[in-house]
Amino acid sequence: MFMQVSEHKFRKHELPNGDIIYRPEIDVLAGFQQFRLKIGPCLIDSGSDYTILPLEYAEYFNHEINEGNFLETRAAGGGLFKSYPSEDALTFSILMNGFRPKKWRSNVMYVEGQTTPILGIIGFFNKFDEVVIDAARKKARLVDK
Amino acid sequence: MFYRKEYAGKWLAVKDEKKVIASAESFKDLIQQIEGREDKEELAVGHASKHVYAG
Repeated sequence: MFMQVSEHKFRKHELPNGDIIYRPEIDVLAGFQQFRLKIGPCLIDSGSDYTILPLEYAEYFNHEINEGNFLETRAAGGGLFKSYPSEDALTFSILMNGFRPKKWRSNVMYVEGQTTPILGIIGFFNKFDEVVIDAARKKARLVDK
Repeated sequence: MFYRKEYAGKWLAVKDEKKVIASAESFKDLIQQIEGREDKEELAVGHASKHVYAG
């Protein structure tokens, strides 16, 4: 069986209080029809049920938002916000460290005021055989069999 | 460079994960700045967070 394994270094961030942290983040190329845009950094987050993009990207991909069609979504800490499903699937691809790019299609949820794109269970984790967050080595490992 | 405090809250177009090619207060302004560039698909478009996350 041919297996593709790709490692992606965590990215360094300075928090407002000066703390330095490293987050599992990658860039993804997203497309719909003639529109293509590399989006990043996107947070790899198993705590999110869906892959979530800010509303700004809906405008870029020419996706209309139906204000009556939303899913109430709860954030950590208890806050509620509205998620609007994309009307069509986007095509995603990422570079796999020397292998052919990994490509997949998925609908996403668009949210207002959410400024960090999130790669969640649906639309990211369910597209790979393994997603490993290696905290000790500060690397995310993606396995595609 | 992408993660420096001076960029917090801005939309950025970044090359090779660290070189900021363009920045703007709004997504639209940023897209206008990079449209037509030959290397546009190499630029990652994102928002430089100024938040601490829990989730």
